[in-house]
Amino acid sequence: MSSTSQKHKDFVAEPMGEKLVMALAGIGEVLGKRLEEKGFDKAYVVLGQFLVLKKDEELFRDWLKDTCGANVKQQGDCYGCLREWCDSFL
Amino acid sequence: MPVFLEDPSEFSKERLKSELIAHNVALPPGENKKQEYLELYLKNVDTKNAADFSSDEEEELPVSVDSEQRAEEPDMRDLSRLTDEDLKAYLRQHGFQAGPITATTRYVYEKKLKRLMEPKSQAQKNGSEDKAVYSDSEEEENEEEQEQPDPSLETVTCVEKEIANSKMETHSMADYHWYPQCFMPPARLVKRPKKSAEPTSSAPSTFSVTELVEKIERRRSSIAEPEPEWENSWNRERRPESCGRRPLQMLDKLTMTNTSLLDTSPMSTFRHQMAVPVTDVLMEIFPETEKTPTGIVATRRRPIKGAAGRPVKFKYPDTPLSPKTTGQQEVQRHKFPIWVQLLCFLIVTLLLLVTYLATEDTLKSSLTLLLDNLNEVLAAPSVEDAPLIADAAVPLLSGE
Repeated sequence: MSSTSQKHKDFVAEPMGEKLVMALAGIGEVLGKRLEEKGFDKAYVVLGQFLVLKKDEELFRDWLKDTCGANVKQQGDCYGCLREWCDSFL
Repeated sequence: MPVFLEDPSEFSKERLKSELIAHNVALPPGENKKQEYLELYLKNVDTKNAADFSSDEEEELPVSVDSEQRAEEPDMRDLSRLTDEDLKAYLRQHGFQAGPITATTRYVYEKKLKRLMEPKSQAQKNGSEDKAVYSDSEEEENEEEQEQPDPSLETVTCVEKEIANSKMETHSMADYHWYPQCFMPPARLVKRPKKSAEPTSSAPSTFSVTELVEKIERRRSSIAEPEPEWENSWNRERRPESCGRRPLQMLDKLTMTNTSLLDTSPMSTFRHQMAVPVTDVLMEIFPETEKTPTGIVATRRRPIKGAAGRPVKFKYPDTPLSPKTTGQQEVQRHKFPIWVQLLCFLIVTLLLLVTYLATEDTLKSSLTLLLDNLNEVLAAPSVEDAPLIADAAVPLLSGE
């Protein structure tokens, strides 16, 4: 699950700074490439989308699926890691 | 929206361009004059805006006014044509508070709106489908199907009077078919003219359980014994002159067009009839329930109207009290205080004690008398024996 993944822990542990989009939990190389193609090259851009969707899980999952074709687990990982990051740093 | 209040002809060329891009209108290649952009703008954007504007105006009306109709509005158009504000307003209408609608979020919100609108429209569609299922025309067809056998049977019996060999079967069949008519002829007689008079409204109301049973039995009989029926029609075709009535033509037509009463089509209609009235019955029992696409409705179980399971005191609210209990109540009412009772008790016990003591004294005296007498009686022989004992004692003593 998202809470156990090392990527999730690493991302949530510190401010994201200029991290790439692939640093997000659930976003691997393939999805990262797709997101970069659409202009979401940095993790904070995805965070911006996450925030502009008002942290709504359903909408964010929807958006992620449409943008890069993430599956349910990847959606959940990405959402969970962003939400947790927001909880601690926002 | 302030944009619509301005005259587009007063826009700058750059503004017109950006507006056109914002409204997904393909710009003509290369640099053009303002007039061209203006024409494009007027053609594509302004009409759209006008429509949007009107719908915006509607939004400000009270919500109760045909909200359904308005909710369907975006369905008619393409959702992508809605302005951001409209999209947001529709989402709000569906009870969803949308965030900022930007280039990246718009598509997400459009999908959301589509999803929100879907169940509603689906339900409506299903509703209309239900109406189609219950439509009068179909019901009428069934009615016709149901009515046609009757005149034919009349002719059948007429024909079979002359033919001896299959008489028994037809008779049984005829009886089978005739009894419902004997059963409830007035309903039929009344119903038929009414149907011709107003075919639309009568269809759902004419349903009755007896009629359903009747239908089922008729179908069953025609399915169970197809042989005699077939034979009958065959016989009649051979000698149609034996019965020159009009109903005969109807059956002849039936058999000739192969829409006989026997095989598949009656079966299917039978099934159909089965399906429709059953749901009708449900609707009759629960008239207030909504029609659902699945037809399954879960409701709270209604309390049973009888006295079952109710506490006894509610079961017989005003039972006359038995004389015993009334007496008890009387006693309760006239009860003395407890100290008075104790006092009475003490007095009574004292009295009893005194009497006992008094009687005991007398008893004692009588007893003592009796005992004394007894003692006297016993004492007398003992006195007589004394010298004997003394005599016996003397030699013993003397012997020593």
